[in-house]
Amino acid sequence: MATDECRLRTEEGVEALLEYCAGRLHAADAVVLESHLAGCAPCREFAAAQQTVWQSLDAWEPAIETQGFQSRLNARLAEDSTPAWKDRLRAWSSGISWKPAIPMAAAFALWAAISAPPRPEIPAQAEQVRPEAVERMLEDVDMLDQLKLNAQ
Amino acid sequence: MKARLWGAGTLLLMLLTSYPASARQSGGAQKGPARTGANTIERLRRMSPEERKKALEKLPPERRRQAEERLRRLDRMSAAERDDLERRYDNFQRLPSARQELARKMFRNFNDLPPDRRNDVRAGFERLRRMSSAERSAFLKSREFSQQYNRREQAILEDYAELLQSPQL
Repeated sequence: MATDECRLRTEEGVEALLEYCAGRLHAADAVVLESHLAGCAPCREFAAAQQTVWQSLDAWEPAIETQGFQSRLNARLAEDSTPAWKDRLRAWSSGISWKPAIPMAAAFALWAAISAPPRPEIPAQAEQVRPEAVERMLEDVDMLDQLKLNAQ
Repeated sequence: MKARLWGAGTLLLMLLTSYPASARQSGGAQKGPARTGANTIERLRRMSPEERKKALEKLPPERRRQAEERLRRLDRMSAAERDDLERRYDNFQRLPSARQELARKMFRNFNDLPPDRRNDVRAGFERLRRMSSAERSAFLKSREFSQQYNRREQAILEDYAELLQSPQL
């Protein structure tokens, strides 16, 4: 990936940024990314926002659980061991980045428009048919019928 | 990685769907040229009385009457007659436009003849149709031809003989 290309444009770039903010990026990659961040404002803002989240999470201390909370929680979890389909769908789809699908969908829509089969013949509608065209067709058909021009 | 998966999935979907699309575009399993004649004649036949009225109402009365009569004639045809006509209409459409215009002009001249003369000229068409090219040429130069038909009728029959030379007819 080019050093100067905005990382937010590709999923790999975004993932690298997230890894970096989580402190999991390989040191050598982190150095490259940091040099990019110095010159890319959107990536810098993104990284700053992510780091704020991580710092907040690091600072968060879970409240001391009240007596019986864990047992109630376990009982509740047992009740809801099978999540609703909406929740499962949401959980599944949250793991998918839709970003790369957008250009694909656009390309597919373009392709579908170009390669779409011709529309079936629209049944004759008086509003769409010019009287002269109808007259011409009828004349041709009548001529072929009467004169047997190419009858076998 | 996900982007590549999406790309591959999209490509696969395009490949899977492209065959039927292109097959439909080329007429699918249909062999031979498209039957435009069937489309045209079916379109004309399928017009409801209201659609016919609307389609023809802007024509001058005499032309409208003639078109209505032609539609009725089409309605009275059997399926076999229509099928034959559709095939001939297809062949006619493949004629060069100058030849099509010659045929139309000849047919209009024919329709302008008095009814009794029309029958004689129609018999002439039939006779010419059954002749070889050489026989037709000889017939058009014959005394019989010049005596049986007046100048106007001769011109119609000469145009008819000329049209019969078209390979599509």
